[in-house]
Amino acid sequence: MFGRKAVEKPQEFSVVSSNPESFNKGKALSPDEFARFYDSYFPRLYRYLSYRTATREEAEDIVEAVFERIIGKFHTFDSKRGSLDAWVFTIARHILSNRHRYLSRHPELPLEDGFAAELGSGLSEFVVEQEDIQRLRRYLGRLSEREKELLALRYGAELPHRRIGELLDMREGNVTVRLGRIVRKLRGFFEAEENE
Amino acid sequence: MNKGDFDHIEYGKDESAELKRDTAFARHLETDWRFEPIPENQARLRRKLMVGLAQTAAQTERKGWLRLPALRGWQLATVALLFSAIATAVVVLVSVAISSTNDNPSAVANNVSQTLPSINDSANNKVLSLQDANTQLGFKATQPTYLPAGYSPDKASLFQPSTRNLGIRPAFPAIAPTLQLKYKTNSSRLLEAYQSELIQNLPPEARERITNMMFNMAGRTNKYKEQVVQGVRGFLIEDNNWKIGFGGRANTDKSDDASTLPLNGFPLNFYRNAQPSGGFLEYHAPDTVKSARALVWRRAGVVLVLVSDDNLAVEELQKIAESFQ
Repeated sequence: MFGRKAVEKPQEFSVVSSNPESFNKGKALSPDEFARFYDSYFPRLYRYLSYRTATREEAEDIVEAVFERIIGKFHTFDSKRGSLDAWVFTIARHILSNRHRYLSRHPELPLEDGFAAELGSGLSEFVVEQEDIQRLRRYLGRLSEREKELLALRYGAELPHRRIGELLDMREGNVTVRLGRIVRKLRGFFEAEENE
Repeated sequence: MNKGDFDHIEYGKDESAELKRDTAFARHLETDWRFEPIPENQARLRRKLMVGLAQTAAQTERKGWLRLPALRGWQLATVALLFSAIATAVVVLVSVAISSTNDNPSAVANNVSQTLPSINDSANNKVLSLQDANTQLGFKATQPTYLPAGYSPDKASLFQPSTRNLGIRPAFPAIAPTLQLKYKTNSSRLLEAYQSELIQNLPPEARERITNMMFNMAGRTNKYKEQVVQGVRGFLIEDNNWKIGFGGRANTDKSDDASTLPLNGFPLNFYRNAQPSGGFLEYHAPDTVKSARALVWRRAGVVLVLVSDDNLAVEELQKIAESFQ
């Protein structure tokens, strides 16, 4: 109703859903399991980070750091203590907040546009961003950290509200209400600029 | 969009229209307005991580009595503290022992092929020779033949991206081997030299397409100037934090020239840019240093960075740089 469309559920990591006991504490990932794990989580982590970072480069570096941490720590994952989604995105959030702390101490300046041009043709596709994405980045800057996190977990990581609540220590209903307000707020920013 | 995303809004006639617009807007959020993964980058990282996984598996799959019980946070912290205290003591003892044999600057000056003192020559804790360093670096490392009075060689370190500790890196690590040479004085003055090959800092597919490497520089305004070092264009940077861009021209035969970039950064580190043939080199002086100055230049594809505090005159720094062989 009201324009809702059936959206495919985010892909679950099949090994976990079929046999959660196989990931009990103390076991490391086999190469085959890791491959499936990676294919399942890479896009979601990347999209999540696309809402929380300024550039593709930064998103890719953080995704790499997250997977490295996961490889090193997977034997500590205990499915009885929480879902794999929550575990993975908690790691991502920790690394991201460390990165933000680092940047607050050592701020980076953006590359001049001229540099991309200097690097020669054929590379521009990596730096060209749609105008709307750039606008969204600007508007995201007006949201609180909590609001950005909610948005990233929902529309980037595609986590269900229940999982988001688990991660942010919120009730599922509260997540729903907050998300609705954030979307309306963002829409307001877009529409206000268009009406100017 | 999830069922229930907009359940919170009580709707009337107008509200249902608002809801539809919210829904349409939210659809952009989950489709158009986010970065989508680049398949080649995803595949490359996958290959790289699989290698890391094999190494980690070898470490965690220990058998028998070697398998330690899982430790809690405070237990790990205690063990780490003890370990670091012992390691510090060992490093201090080794440094003292080594420095006593290398106090004379001419030891470096007249013996380029001699053994370098080392602090972190990977796991074997052996003294690092230039030959070993060259093998691991993939290019010929150099040393200055001149050091001002009172300065002597202290330590050499090889930063190997493949041997980094995956769990505790501070930011983004070197992506190619980098040699660090440290020099000491009696009054804790800063003098360090770094060397790394630019092309190794690019992903393999970019290396194949590169015909010329650019080396672009700009500190924050007025904190740097161009300076010729060893007959090539270099930069004198008088700032504690800076960043340099480097990149290659893909399939062009334009000459090597430089344009400016705004930059800043970490002790000395390289990292890849989103553009496949570009990257950054960052430097961040230790907090104990009030004013750092650096000479940066490129020789045969190897970038050299010589850093000191302001106790060393620019002329002296230049003289050391000119003496790299």
